[in-house]
Amino acid sequence: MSTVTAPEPKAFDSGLTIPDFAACLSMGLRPVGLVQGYYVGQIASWNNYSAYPDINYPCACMEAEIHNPGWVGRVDGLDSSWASAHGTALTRILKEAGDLGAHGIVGVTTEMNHPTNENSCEVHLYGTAVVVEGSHAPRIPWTTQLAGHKLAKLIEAGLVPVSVIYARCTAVMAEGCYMEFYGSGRCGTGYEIKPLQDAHELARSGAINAVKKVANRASLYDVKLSVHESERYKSTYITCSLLGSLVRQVRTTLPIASPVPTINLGS
Amino acid sequence: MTGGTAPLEGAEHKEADLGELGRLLGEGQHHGDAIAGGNTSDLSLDEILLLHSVGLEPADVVFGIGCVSITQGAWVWGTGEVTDARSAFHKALDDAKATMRRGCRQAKAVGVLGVEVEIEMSHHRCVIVVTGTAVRPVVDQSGSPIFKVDYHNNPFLSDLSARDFVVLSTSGWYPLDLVAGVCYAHAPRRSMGTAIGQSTQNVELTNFTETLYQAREEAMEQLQSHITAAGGTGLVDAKIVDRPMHFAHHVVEFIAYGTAIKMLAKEHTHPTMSLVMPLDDVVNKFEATSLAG
Repeated sequence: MSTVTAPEPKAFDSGLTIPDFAACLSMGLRPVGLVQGYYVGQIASWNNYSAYPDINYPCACMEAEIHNPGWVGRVDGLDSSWASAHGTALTRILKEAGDLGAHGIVGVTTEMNHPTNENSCEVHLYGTAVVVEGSHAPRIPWTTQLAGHKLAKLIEAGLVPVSVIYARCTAVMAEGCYMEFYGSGRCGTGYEIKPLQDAHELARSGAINAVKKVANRASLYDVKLSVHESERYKSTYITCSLLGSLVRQVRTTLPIASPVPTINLGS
Repeated sequence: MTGGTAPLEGAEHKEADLGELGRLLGEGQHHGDAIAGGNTSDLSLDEILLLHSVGLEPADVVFGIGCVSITQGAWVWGTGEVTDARSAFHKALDDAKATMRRGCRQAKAVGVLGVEVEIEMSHHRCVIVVTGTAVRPVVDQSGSPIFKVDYHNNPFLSDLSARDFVVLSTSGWYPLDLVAGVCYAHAPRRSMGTAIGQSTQNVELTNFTETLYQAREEAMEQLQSHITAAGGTGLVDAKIVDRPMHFAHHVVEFIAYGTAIKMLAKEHTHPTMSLVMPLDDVVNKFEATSLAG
């Protein structure tokens, strides 16, 4: 990839709304350019299906034949493809911002989809690179989904942005006789279906823990979890995607005045 | 209630100086290690700030999952309630809530806010997933918590937003538990003659209407008993789901759930409201396409 260079800006461009633009200027954040990071890639087809058992389940049907007991595992290859796609797009947007001499990027928006089929991935990040007047540039520009007054509130609470972050975990539940027994009603009512429960937990905790691993005492705020379930070849895939903002507490939260309850007479 | 939260008095909020905040942002980026941290939250920043105003902060995103089996033949068209579905629902919800409370205790939190409830009922299983943010008290300089309410050492679970929680708690009330009532009931078959006779008329399908009423009565009674069992005296923000099942159209599903609450203060305190009248009317925009004729 050799074309990751920002255009030379003559006038600044930005994706800020007017209120955010005005607030950023008041905070001494000077917009220098609308920066973007793209990545479009192919996911190796075997990544969609290669998983190894983390948890095995005993044969539950109590029948004479030997059955496949079923298991739950993670599809690491698929998740690392998406994580690496997001990481590359983030590196590219940071490079563009760095080339403009920016200190950080505000209002970062993340778009992710499959441009062709499920074996392809596209990540598009864009935001407004800003310079903090009177300050010197950090080693790596910071990034945040916030801008304007929301960013001011974050700083007022004693926090500064570190980075936008994405994590994903796919758990697969391979149906064996355990699921055939417990998941098909043959066992009666009221039994816990452990494999499905474990797969749901694995997907969610996997995504959250992946972020905690890299957080390094930073906090993860504004988490958006999205869970998708699909079935292929008698296996259930549960994917949990996490988008959020890493923030660092640099001083104690200032006492915030009691909010004023209001009734809107205009609507 | 031991006075952990003060009533909202409408104190003037002094807006911070934006220039000063910009300077703090620049300095903060060169600050060493974070002074505290490791929190995870799916609340919005506004909600986090609101929680701070009553002495709480987010601790961790916690979740719970309950997957429970339903026996074969439970949905075959019959009469009355599908009791297997009801018991599976409550067991799944109880399992999910128990896991969530464990996560809440691990995070040393007093409760979970903004709980999102996902319910998936199918032929042979009921899956319930609950996700929310565990919140814990902020400690003051002497190390004592600012928010002092901890009802019976039992973490509360609530689907209320941080805004609703702040208004509720400053009014003297406290959330206790997420409770639900549910009923899956068969709508009785119409006789062949009635079905043919009604096919050319605009008439009420009384079998469905009556089933819906019966399902509602049953679910609301359960809800009442769960509120009482949780120690509550009421329920707020009830969500109601009533619909035919997508895989068994003759069965009516009725679910009501919400947050059981109890008044811990001596009396209800109503916050003082300020009236706001926005003057920014909708601007009538000129549409160039209107000139096209």
